[in-house]
Amino acid sequence: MTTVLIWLMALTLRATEPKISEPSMLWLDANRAYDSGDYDRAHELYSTLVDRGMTNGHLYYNLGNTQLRQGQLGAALASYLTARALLPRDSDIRANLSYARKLSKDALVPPEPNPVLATLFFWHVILSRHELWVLTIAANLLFWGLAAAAYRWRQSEALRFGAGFALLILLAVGVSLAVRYLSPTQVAVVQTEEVEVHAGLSRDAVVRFKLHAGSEVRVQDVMESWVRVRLPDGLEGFVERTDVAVVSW
Amino acid sequence: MTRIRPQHARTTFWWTSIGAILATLVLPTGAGAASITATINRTEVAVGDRLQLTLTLEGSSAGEIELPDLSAFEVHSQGQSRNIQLINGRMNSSVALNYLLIPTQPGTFTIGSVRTKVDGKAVMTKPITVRVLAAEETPKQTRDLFMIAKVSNESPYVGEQVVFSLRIYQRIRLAQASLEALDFGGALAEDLGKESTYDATVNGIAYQVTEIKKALFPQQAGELVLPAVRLNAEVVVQNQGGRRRGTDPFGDIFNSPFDDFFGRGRTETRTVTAPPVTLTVRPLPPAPANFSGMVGSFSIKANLTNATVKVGESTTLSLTVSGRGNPPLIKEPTLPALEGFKIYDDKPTLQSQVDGEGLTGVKVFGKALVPMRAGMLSIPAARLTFFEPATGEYVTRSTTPITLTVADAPASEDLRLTQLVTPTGGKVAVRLLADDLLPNYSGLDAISASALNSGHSGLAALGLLIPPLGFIVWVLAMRRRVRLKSDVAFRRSRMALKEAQPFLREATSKLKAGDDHDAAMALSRALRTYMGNRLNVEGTALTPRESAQLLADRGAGPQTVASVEAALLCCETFVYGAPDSRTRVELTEHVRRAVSLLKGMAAELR
Repeated sequence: MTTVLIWLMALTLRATEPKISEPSMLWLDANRAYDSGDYDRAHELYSTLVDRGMTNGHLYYNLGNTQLRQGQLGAALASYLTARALLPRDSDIRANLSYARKLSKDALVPPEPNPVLATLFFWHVILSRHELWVLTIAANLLFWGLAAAAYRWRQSEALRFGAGFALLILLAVGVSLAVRYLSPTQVAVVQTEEVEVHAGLSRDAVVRFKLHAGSEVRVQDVMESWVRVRLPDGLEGFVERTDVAVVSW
Repeated sequence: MTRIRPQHARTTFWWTSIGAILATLVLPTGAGAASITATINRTEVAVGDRLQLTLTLEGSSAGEIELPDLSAFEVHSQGQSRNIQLINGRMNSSVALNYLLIPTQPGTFTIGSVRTKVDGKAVMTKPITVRVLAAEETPKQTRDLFMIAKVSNESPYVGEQVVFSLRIYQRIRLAQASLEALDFGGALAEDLGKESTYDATVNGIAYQVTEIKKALFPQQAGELVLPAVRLNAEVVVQNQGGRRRGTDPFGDIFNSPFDDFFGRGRTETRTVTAPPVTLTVRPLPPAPANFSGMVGSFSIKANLTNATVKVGESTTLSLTVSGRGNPPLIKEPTLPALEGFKIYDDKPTLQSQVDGEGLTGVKVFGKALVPMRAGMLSIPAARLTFFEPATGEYVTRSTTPITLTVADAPASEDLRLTQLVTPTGGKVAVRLLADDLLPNYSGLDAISASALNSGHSGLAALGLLIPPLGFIVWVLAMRRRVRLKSDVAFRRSRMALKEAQPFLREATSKLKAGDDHDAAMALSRALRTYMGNRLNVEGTALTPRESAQLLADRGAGPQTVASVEAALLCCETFVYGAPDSRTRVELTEHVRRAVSLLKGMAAELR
């Protein structure tokens, strides 16, 4: 009888334990592998988590660190950019991103928002898409709630003022969110050691210039197997999609 | 103008009286450091010219003034002036005693030190040398405006200080005067204070003299020509024939002061020129190896702030160079390498002064010395070699060596050694020695359930849509409520069906119970209540005919109107008349159709 019970317990444990804790086990294993210097294993485990649909800035950050340790500069930069898009105010991510940028060969200014605009529309830069959503919904609720209250108590100046303020916030975050969806910042990070940028959509087309691993360039258009990129000085060309990682936020 | 020249015998008496005046002199209190200084307005005069000697006393109480031998001059007192200054809340007061000296014979005289006691402290002035020229040496010009340029030495060495003075003699009033820019032909020029104004006598004629002085330092050997200097002046000429003198008895009274006051006399432009001056600049003889480049006469001294210090403490060594020459060019004396010290150079301080013979300067080179070991450490003599034009030789001056007693410092203070001394240098930028990635993130929240968030868009859309929808519903509800409150007819028509329902139910139940009379009453009531409410009239008072008419007027269809009329008539038959079995069937039918009838009316009525 007791043996049967133990058996059953073991069975249930076996059945439930991996389901609940598998991602955390993977995470802990990956961190352990990274700390012990086994970057290949760490990379594999972090990638598994990413493939399972985990979208967390810290995960991409750790993945980026691992890729950089493995010498994959382009991949690491793409991971850091993704991580930054998810956690825009994380100083560790920014520090390692700028560290990685120093390793790239091409003297290109990374596509970053204009500092004046970034100061004026700071929320657009320091808030992630998820946070913008939460804020938009909250501001939406607040605005309509206050508007309803102001409709009921029409003589209240405070309610009307509050509703106006909420509308301002709603517009600010709403427009920011709309910009994120309608014209996201798209950056191509060169993955291979050297990549040729062609004048046309063919490998036989003239090579206009070459980019090197880790270079970040603005994406004009993403086609089936080609990406049209543009340098800060206006130089444009087409790169094969397999040679770059396109990150958008 | 007549001048009273007192006899020599009188001057002795006079000096005693100055002492008496000073003994009673009460200087304002709260003064700064006690001191006495003597200044003279010029150092080169002719016999019969006037010199202004000023003794300035600073301090709170002065004793008797001891004057030097002044037998070469006639001395006249010109009284005293008091000067009180309030600087940063501190009162500084001084008394100036003015004397007029008139040289009686040519030659070079030294006005010796004036001694006195101020605040009980013995103080004295520096001696002043005055050169008195014979009366013949002065220009024999008798014009009312002329100019003379002179240099103190016509054959200086390269780098030697030469005092250039330009004197403008005038006997007439100048409305305006402009001097052309002075050109010193490549020699360095330094200002020697503001121009001075004094009275002088040339060939028995009194002039007002304005003197401009510059210190020149020739830079090259050879001939140095200081070109002629020109002065353009507007001279006031009295307008004498302008007024009708004599005919106007008050003319003299009014004319002269007004002419003077408003300068009504016309002016005349006049140009006067001082002739050029040529200097023969001599080169310096071959210089020894340690020549500092300084030309002039200088003295140097060294002193330490503390003669005994502990290891690691600092003491300041000051090397002071003072003398006559070009002050900015004063160089630091060479000090042999100091053993057992850490040395931090301080910024040197320079003070330039102007006296009658040109520029003098005092430059102090400070060094913070930190002894590194205990014992008797010696600071050897510092040396400075310069060229002395007076002797025409290179002179080396040295300071007296100083011995410093250094005591052992407590062991714990060794660590503070670098903190005790503040280096004069600036901060050093932080240098990045090596760089690396920041460590991984290890928090488990990275893998929380919320990290798996890809399918929230539906929820988000709801979050965006629900509030405005809720608002619309709210607004509609509010409007309805307001209308119900304010519009009786609206409220009655809204409530009509609701209020009619109980009567309908009653009619049905009474019919089932076989109480036809009551059933008919209830049905009639239901219909009339509904119509009354819906049409906002008193429904119970309506006859079937009137009801039909009213319904038709408000847009009900003919079939509905007919049905309502029939139902009401049927009910009346039960209430007032004699119902038969056929009417009973009709009543049953009417009750059965009453609900749809009411709904039909609700739909059709406006």
